[in-house]
Amino acid sequence: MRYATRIGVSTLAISAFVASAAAAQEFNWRQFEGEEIYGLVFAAPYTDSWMKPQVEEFEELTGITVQIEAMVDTQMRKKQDIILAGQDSSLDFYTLQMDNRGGALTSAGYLEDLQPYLDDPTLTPADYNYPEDWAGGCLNTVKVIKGQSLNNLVFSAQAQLLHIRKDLFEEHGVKIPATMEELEAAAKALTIKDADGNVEMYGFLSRGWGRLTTASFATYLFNHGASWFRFEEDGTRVANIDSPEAIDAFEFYGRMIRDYGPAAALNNRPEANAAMFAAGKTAMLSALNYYIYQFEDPNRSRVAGKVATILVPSGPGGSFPNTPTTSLAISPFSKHKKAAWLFIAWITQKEQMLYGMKNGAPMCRKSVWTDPEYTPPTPSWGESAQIAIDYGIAIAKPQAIAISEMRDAVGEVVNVAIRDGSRAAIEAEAKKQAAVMNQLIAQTEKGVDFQGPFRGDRVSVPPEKQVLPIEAIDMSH
Amino acid sequence: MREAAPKAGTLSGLPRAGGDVGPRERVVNWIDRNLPIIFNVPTVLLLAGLVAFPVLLVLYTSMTDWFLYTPEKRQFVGFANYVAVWSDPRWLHAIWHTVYLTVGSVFFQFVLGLGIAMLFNRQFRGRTFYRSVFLLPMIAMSTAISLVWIIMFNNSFGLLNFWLASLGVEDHIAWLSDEHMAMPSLILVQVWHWTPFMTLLLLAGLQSLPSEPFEAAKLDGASPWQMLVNVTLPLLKGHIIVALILRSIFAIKEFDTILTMTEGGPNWATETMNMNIYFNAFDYGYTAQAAAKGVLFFLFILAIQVALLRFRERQWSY
Repeated sequence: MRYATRIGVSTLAISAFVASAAAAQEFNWRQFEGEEIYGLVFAAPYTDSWMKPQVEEFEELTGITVQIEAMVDTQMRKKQDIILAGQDSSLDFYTLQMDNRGGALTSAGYLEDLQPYLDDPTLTPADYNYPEDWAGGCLNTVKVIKGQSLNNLVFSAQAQLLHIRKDLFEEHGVKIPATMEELEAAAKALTIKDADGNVEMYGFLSRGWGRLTTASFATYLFNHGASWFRFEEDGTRVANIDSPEAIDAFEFYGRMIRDYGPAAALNNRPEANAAMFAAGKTAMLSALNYYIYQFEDPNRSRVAGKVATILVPSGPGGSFPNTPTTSLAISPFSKHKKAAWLFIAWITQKEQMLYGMKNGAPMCRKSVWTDPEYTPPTPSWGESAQIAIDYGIAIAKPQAIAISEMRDAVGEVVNVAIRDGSRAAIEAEAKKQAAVMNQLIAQTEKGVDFQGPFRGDRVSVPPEKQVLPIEAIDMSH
Repeated sequence: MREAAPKAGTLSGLPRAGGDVGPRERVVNWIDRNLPIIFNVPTVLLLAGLVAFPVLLVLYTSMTDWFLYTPEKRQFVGFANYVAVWSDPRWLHAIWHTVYLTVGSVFFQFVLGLGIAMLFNRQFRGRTFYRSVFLLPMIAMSTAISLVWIIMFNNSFGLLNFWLASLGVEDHIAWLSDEHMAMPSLILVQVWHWTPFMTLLLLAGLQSLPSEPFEAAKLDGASPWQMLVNVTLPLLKGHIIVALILRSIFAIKEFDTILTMTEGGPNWATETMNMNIYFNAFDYGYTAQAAAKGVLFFLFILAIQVALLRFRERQWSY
């Protein structure tokens, strides 16, 4: 009997050793040892809290040296363009937002097809689980042109949500908004003036500056039942920003900022808006959800513990959370494509994404959101962020080849909506800018077929889910 | 018997050509003869690589249809881009904005600079200290001061609106977000930043002027205004033209302040020619059209400077 046990234990030990050896042989992380790769990435919270801190571990595991250059988005995009246009082989991987320049970079042939790398078991670990473990809202953003290959790996699941001061709502007995009407009523009630008529607390704040407004305005546009573009009967894609629903959305958004927001909204960049909210000057802020880590940090915020995060209220057209995701991609001119892929495949594994989540970077893998090791910064933030990545769509910008000019065009309409506000003025500017957008489509999109997103091809957040973040608010503060 | 000294003007003193000379001597002779050319070759190559090549590349690019975000190969289109830019309303507005910014900022810099230069040209206690302090804005980085001015201009909590409110002006001025106010606001920053430079140039001119004409005018009973108009300005004319040329070149090329403060907005009200070129080249991907606009921008600066220089030549021989 003892002999049999000994044999059994030995067999198990040998099997375990063989299995682990086989597993190790299955995936060879050191196959590109000695190579050096260079990546150009956005200077963003996920770069500092997720990517950069893990590079050393990757270098030790693989023997690949990784050089990461992080730059602010506008400068990074220009450097990226110069390198790619010059077909410079020094750039191996980079970050991009598909809803921003995905169409242009795809059309120009600046993105390597990643499907062969994903399908190759020698390059992708067996348990990588793409796309099964990726949230629907993230996957919605991956392909922007019909027939586009899988040329990017989406990782960042940030979303445009509504941050509210739950203490003020409670103190003034204001209903937390689930609809656009309730949002305006709340903004009005929480725009508080002192005895001299000076505003002590602004009810609402969102982006009001130039082209940046498209990202925050997008949800209001879609929730009002409008969209950036529509199809004509003959299949031609045309601008839709002059439709009655779009004018409603411009009017509403402009009124919200003009009547209930600080005049500084017209000057402020997103960071300045977040700083105003953190300083306790506004009751509601429509902004990206990663700012919660700033708001909940007592060293950088006067509102720590007083903030809840909910979905932007639904409108006549439904509820479409805007998820301007970020992806990793490989330059087709790189000489170290496989090593670059290895880095992408490694840094987007569950363990590495969980590291990012725990350090404040919302990630696209579904499993990290439900991992017991992860606790969201606030319950309402967790609910709203998760709904956003399930239902979100990439609507932050009017997707097009001439994306920057499109954003400038929409920015002008928003500017008129905030400063003037009359429906006639908004209509006139929207018509003018729609014509500009149509001309840009004709000029730059010959043979390019954008697939959306358009209204009708995405599902609205159901009303019962819309209220989940509100129900999750912990009113103790 | 003494050896003959090497012939002047040669390295070796060997016979220049002909006679019974070996290949080595011939090479040395050739080098010797072409020494001035050989010494200049590195400089010429460097200039060709760093100046001529980029200029030729820009000229070539301006005659293609290069759009950055298309896989299609660029085609030669001749002068089509040079024609097309004149139907671009933003480019036409950008020319006007460039003139507006340049004339507006240089005019106020000149008027203030001259006044302050005349003040600093007088003797008073602490003059060196005040002069040094006054020059400080000039040495500050444009981007840094632009960021400070953005805060000062902020509609809600900016210092300027706060001062205006304390003076009883309750309506907040949208300094940078109103399309009619944005350019005057930029001119204000330019005047603050560059008036010290104008002052420096004019002060140098004032200090180099002879004292006799001033003494003579004083003896003749000229008033301060007459002294300024009839003595100071005519004598200073050469310096004034140089100062105006320098400042107008800088103002036409102004970029960092505009990019930092308004990015050409709102509604492109502060988009100057080089901002328009920047957007076309690096934001919109219209590489060829941006190159054509770059060439036109160069010609624009050249034309203004040639005109100013001619004016200076005419006025110099007083």
